[in-house]
Formats: sequence, C-alpha cells, structure tokens
Amino acid sequence: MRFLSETEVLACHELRRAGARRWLRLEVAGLAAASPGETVLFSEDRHSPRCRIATVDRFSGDRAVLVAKFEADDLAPAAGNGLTVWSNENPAVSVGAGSLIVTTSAFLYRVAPFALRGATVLVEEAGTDLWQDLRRRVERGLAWTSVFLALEPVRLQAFAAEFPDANPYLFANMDMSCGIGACRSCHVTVSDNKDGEASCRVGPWFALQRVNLVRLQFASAPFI
Amino acid sequence: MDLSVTVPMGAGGVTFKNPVMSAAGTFGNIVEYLDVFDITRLGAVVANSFLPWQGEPNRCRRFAHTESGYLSAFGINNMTLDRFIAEALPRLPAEDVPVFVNIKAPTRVQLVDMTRACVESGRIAGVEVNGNFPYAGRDEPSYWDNPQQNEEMFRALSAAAEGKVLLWSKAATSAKMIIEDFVSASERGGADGTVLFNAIPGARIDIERRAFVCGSTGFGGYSGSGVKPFALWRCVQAARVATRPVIASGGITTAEDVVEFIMAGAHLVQIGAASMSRPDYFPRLLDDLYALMERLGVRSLDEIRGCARAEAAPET
Ligand SMILES: Cc1cc2nc3c(=O)[nH]c(=O)nc-3n(C[C@H](O)[C@H](O)[C@H](O)COP(=O)(O)O)c2cc1C
Ligand code: FES
Repeated sequence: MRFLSETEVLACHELRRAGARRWLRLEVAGLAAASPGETVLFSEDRHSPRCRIATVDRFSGDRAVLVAKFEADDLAPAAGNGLTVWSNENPAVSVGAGSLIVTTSAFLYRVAPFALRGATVLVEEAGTDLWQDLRRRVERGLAWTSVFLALEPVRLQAFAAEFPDANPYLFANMDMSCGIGACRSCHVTVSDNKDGEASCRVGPWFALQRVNLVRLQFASAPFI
Repeated sequence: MDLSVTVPMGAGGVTFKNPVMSAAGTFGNIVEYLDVFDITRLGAVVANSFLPWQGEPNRCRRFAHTESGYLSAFGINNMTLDRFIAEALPRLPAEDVPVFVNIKAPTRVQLVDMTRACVESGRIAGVEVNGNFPYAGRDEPSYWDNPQQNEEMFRALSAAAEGKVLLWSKAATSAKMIIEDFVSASERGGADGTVLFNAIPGARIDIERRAFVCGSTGFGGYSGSGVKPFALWRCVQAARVATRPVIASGGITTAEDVVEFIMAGAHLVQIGAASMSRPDYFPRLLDDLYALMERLGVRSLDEIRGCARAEAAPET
C-alpha cells in the first residue's frame, strides 16, 4: 500500500448502469504517477463512506481518468471534491506484452487500459462466435504467453474446454470494502491457500485452475 | 494532554495510550495493516474472530453499503487461533500496542482452551469473547441468553486467564438477556470489561432483481454511523451498572463520536466500519481527537468520563 496523491475531481460521468450498480468515469488532477490498467484505491475527502477500488484508464501529465464501480444510489464525487489515492498495485501476475485478454463489451471498461501496456485485447463482437474468432486468429498466427479472461463463468468453462492447455487467468471484479485485505469482502476461494486470497491485494487476476468457481459465483459480485 | 486509559487487571492494570481501538472483524489479522499506517499509535488493536477450526467465507454476497452504514455477512471465515499465534503474532509490535483477539466457539471447553492458548502465547494482552456466535447453544446451553450460564462461563474463562490477559465479554445482539443483567453476570464471573455493541441485524433489497443483496439468509450485521444512537444508549445503560470498564462499539466515526461515548461512560472505544473508509482513517482520527480535546480544554479522559447528564425543564 503506497500513498500516491491528493487529487481533485475535474469531472465525473456515468459510463454504464446495470441493476443496482453503476460505473463512473472520474477525471482527476494531481495524480503523481500511475500506469494504465493499474488498480488504485481512493477515498473521497468530503463524502467518504468507504474507500473504493478503481482502474487507471488513462494517465498523462498529472491528469488521470479512473473508472470505478459504485452502488446505483451512491453519491457521485462532484467536481472540485478532493480524492486521496493510494496505489494498490501488488498483483500476483502482471499483464503486458505477450498477454492476450479475452473479454466482452461489458468488461471492456476494466481491461481496455491493459492494451496500453502491450496486451492484446480481444472483444467479443455482437453476433459472432468468440471461440471461432479466436481459433481463426490463432490459425493466422496469434500467440500469447499468458491468457486473461474477463468473462462470465459459463464462458470461462467454455474457454477451458476449447483450449485445455492454455492455463488462463480469470478476472475477479469483486465488490470491495477496505481495499487492504482485512475485511474479506473480496476474498476468492482458491485450492492451494486455505485462507483464500484478497482480490484487492493480489487480484484481480487469478489462475482459473486454482479458483473454486462455484463459490466465486456466489461471492461479492465477481463477474459484473 | 494525556489521553491514556488504565484499566484494572488482576492486582495491577493495563495502560492504553489512548482510548481508540480497532474492532474485531474489520482489522483483519492486524498484519494486513503493518504497511498501511503506524498501528502503534492506536490504544490497542483487535484481530478478527477466531474459531477453534479453520473457517470459510459465506457463499453469498458478503457485504453491502447502506446510506449510513454497512451490512456484512462474512461467515466464519478466519484462520485458527493457533495459526494466528504461530504465524501472525510474532510479526506484530505487541510490546508497543496491546494486541487483543476475539474468540468464538460453541462450547465452553473450547473457549477455555483458546483463552489458555492466548495466555501461553505471552504476547496477547486481552481476549474478547464474542457473544454473537450463531452456533452458541447448539452443543451447550447458550451462554448469552441466561445470566447464570454467562456468569459460570466467565468464571471458567477467568480461571484460564489467570489474571494474565484481560478478559472482555462482547455483547450478543441476539441475546435475550437484558443488557444490565448481561454486564453484571459477566463481571460476577470475572470478566474485566464488557464490549458493546456488536453489529445489529439488518437487510437490504435490490428492487431490480427482487432479491436481498447481502447474506445467504437475506440479512447480515448492520454496522456504521447509522447504529451510533443505539450503541450510545446501550453504552449508557451498561455504564450505569458496570463496575469494570465498558468498551463501546457501534457507529463511532468522528473524534466527536469518541468524546460522546466517553461522556456516556466508556473507557475505550472500538471502531469498525468507519475505519474501512480510508487506509489513513485511524491516524487522521487520532489527530482530530487530540485537536478536539485541546479545543474542549480537556486534559484527561477521567475529567469527562460519564459526565453527560439529562436536561429537562423543572416542573412548573
Ligand atoms: C465486516 C465486519 C466484520 C465483523 N466481524 C466481527 C467478528 O468477527 N467478531 C465480532 O465480535 N464482531 C465483528 N464485527 C462487529 C464489529 O467488531 C463492531 O462491533 C460492529 O461493527 C459495530 O461497530 P462499527 O459500527 O464501528 O463497525 C464485524 C463488523 C464488520 C463491519
Ligand atoms: S476489500 Fe477488504 S479484503 Fe479486499
């Protein structure tokens, strides 16, 4: 956990709303350093019922765009409000050049920044067969050193059946509360660590074969 | 200004440098915070609840926010006490900040064994016995519903504690016992203090999905600023009958809240939900608390403990 900066909200837009959730895009000024795709923790200085996890979408100069998941009835941070930002980057696996990310448009907001780190992002096109598309690309020479799936559970299983030797990582976009690994809101049940692992500390990517998918499915909103 | 608090233990006492503590279940196994802030600034730290066996998280959405609080249904999800003592405790600065553990178990024998293990560790300052244990009463009659059983349980635990660790009784929200009886029974059995309150039952519904949002049974424990008035009332009730320290818990968020609970009669306060609002929550709160005491002209907490009085117009 590393303190990054006191920042100021310049603007806040709703990206998407689904059920009791909404996704906000926050433009902030004053962020010292961050890289696209990085996970950061932030708290609002004025209205701070909880800390939140965000993905750094873009960063240049001291300006950054953060994307974060909110409850639909949460107050949105207003322009002019202060946000304190901490780096939570301590992932067990890193995503970058040589990585292939397979996703749908619903998750694109969360994984698109990894393209700026050199990852290839394959998004399911409406009306197409994702696996057929992937197979065609593989035939044409698409290769990867590791593959990351930001998909719903049934597709995770379908991928494992299509590419049994790929050893993919899955994306667990858990609801979070403390962001520190203490409250266990975001814990993922894994086969080789009986304590489970905190997505806020070592996530969001977990090796698919380690994760108990049934438990994960009923945990705190991992797939939205 | 001196914010220290000394509470009696055996023939002596234990001194806390200030009244602010973390709360069980919201501060992990303490080690998670070692790289977040200097935990030795706190009066004391409390680790997650421990069971005699390895727990597992609930298979459901485990928390949800409400306008002024937090619903949680984490399940029995921590490592065992033995593992905490072997793996986490050696990493904690227990010489500089008193370390408390919160224990729960279905039988008195297990609670006694766990208390002994804490004494033998030589590094645990206190044991908080969690009355909110859902399985209490399954194997033995519930300790939390009957003053006599509560007293007997604390007699057994107190013998195991040997005056070497503080023994606190944490009130159960589900208890059928009236709170004054609960405090007195625990004290008669030998508890060195009472912690109250715990999270209170609560629920929230997602109207789009027509489903409860938290907990496998649809409800969870409600914590955070919304429960403060209730917890404050409980604190006053407990402090009226207590002969040992009352440790307040429930909705405490600001330095002003801390002062309110001290004025209601608490010796120490535990902060859970609010502390998860930002990683630097505790250092900021402590800075605010020292500044507030300065502003109020209070030099020691003894000056204000239990000082709040009811005001009403005289009958005319
Ligand atoms: C996420 C969470 C987990 C908790 N886990 C425990 C626990 O394991 N044992 C316990 O005695 N209390 C537990 N509590 C209750 C807190 O210790 C505290 O008594 C209660 O939340 C009221 O205080 P607060 O409003 O400051 O959170 C938990 C509370 C929360 C929010
Ligand atoms: S959000 Fe609390 S453990 Fe991850």
